[in-house]
Amino acid sequence: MNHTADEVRRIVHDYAQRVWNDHDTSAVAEYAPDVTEFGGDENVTHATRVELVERVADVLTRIPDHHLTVGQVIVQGEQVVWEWRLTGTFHDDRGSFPVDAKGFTYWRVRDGRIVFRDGVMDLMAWVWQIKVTNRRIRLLMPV
Amino acid sequence: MTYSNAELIHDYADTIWNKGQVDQLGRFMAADVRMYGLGGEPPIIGLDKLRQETARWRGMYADATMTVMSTVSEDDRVAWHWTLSGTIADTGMLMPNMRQLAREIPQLAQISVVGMTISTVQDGKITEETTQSDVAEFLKQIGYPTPQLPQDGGHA
Repeated sequence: MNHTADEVRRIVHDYAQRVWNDHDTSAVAEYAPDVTEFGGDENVTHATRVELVERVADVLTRIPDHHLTVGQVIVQGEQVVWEWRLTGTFHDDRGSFPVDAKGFTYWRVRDGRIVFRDGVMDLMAWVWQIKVTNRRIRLLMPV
Repeated sequence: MTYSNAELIHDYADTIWNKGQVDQLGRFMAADVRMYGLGGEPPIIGLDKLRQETARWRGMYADATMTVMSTVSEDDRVAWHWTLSGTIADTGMLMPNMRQLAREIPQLAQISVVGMTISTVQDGKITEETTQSDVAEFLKQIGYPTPQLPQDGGHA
């Protein structure tokens, strides 16, 4: 089933709201195929539906007030790139840290499922905010 | 045949980054182009400033290969996913711990960075861009002591 651009846009907003704002991990499973493929340099290249839910649940445990704001959404066929801003409080055994980071996500959406996931985020802000590094580095590569 | 926005991006990557013809930037960018990062970096405003910054970054590489892995186009915007790889031109740009090693093992001067950019195109030229590259990986490759994350910061 091919989706219209508006349908894909609706999936992005619905997923962001339910998963990252309402913290409803059942929505992760609802939008996941049996196996999701990941791009990029992540060690994990594939994840089953159960593994994906566990992965999201882990993020929500560490950031219990996780909130995501969706920015630009660009759709072409089954491909979508969307911009986001994450805010919340990150917790680990070192303490609690307010976080505010941005990123881009790339998905391929097929038959109502997110079959491929990739993206980049502002990792330098992230490591500074969770105090893994004591220096914030801002580099803009003009590409 | 019309020249699509995605073709503009491929042409830009090939001309500016692969061929190193930074003087051609005005073919692709509007005079009042604005470039933003996601991390609150000071934006680059105007073609002249962008030309200086691009020349500086492009000059870091003895060679450069920019691969546009995918483009997603809708109306006047193109989102594109890219990889920039090449060999550092001057090992003096590497962190001291990497410098000597790179002289002995030249492959260590080869770096590769991925990123994503959303470009807005009007009248055949890019007027605005928001870009995010994997700066952490770039710093790691030039020998900067990058921290170990307590967890994967990426979004599922």
